[in-house]
Amino acid sequence: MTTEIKDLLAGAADDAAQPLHYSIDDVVRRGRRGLRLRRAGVVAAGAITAGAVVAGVTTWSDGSGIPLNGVQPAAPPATGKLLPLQPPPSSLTDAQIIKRCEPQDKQWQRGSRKAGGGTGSLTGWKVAVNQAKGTWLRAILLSPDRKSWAFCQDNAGAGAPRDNYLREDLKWQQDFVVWTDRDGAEGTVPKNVAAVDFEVDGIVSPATVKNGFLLWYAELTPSEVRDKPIWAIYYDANGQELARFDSNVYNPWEGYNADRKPVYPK
Amino acid sequence: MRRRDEADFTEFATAAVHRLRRTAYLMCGDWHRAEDAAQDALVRVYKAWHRLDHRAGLNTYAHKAVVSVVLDQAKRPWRREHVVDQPVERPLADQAGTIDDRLLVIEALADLPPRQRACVVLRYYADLSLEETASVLGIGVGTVKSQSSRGLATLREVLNRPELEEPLDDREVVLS
Repeated sequence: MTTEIKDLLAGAADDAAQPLHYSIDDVVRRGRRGLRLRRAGVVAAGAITAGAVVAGVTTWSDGSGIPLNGVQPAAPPATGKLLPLQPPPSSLTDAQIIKRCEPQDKQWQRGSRKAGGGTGSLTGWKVAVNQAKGTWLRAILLSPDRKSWAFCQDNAGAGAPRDNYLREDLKWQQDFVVWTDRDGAEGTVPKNVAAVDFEVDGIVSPATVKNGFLLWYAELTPSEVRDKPIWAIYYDANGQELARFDSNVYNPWEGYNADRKPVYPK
Repeated sequence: MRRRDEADFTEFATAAVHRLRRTAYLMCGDWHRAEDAAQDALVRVYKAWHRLDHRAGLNTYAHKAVVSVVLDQAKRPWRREHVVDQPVERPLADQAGTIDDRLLVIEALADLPPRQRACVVLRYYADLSLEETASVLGIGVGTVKSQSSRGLATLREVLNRPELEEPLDDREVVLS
């Protein structure tokens, strides 16, 4: 009797046209890294960071609280992962970037997850900010009526970062709130924000900010810095901190995710 | 992990990854998220490998991990579904079969509450037993039965497929 429902579900989950974008070796590598981190523990992690500071590679932070525009971290945070240089903008035109994003947009619209991003095509949309390196690019697109935005990460090659897409109504964006996923973060910035830094384990990495949006690229899986904040720190044009927000969903110490609020300087 | 264990894990992961990804897809309706969830779940299995029962517990643990990851993903604010001003136009079930049945099923699953969806997917796709499903979801066997039954009833109605029936052992203790 259950054959029908089983057949129905099996048919719906048909993945013949969905190649796997990673290998089991990738899984094993992540697993090994996770075990190493677990063994290392918080104390050892702190020691690694402290060692990096002593070694004089912490040129990215002068302790003044002023954003370090263009100055990039070279040393790993306690995760053992590098915070890479922020990639430059793509050499593609806006039209070419949007064309690369269209297949993912179509798939997004066919999916069941919607967030009020509209149902039309990307015709007339603008590229607000973008980053590119090698075979991949990531871009934030803005609708002609400036009510919807899309985040598009497209990799024409193999490996990381993998394709990722989100399209939603801008009204869901909250000021000074942004979340980090495995490839970094993306979102809006309030009008008075001139720069945004991300700080992990005391290491600061500036995001790319343009046209009211930010992109921050990092090969950093938030779950691997569990229990630690990934601060997004917002500055005005004078270098004054306006607010900071813990963008790590795996850190319970800055409040339950749904209730988490930006921290404003006193 | 010892080399021998790693070889065993690789063998298990190779066999399980596609099924876990499909299970995650039925849970979330998004291939990208499903792929992430399957990978995260397998990493959890890797980390827990030495303390798992390799004869009986691997499949259950892997499914527990993938369900947990999918539900965690859904809780992330930037992934959260929002109620939109205009309801999304929903295609109707089509007896002539001109509409892609697969998408209809995914949409119908997405309309189920998460626990019902998980019960339906784990019982009828992942083929877990009542006890295994209860263990994965951390609920009682009776709750699995009732949630599966309700989920199936909703699918039956939404998909206009009255022939969909739950197995006999799921029919008892169905709460109204």
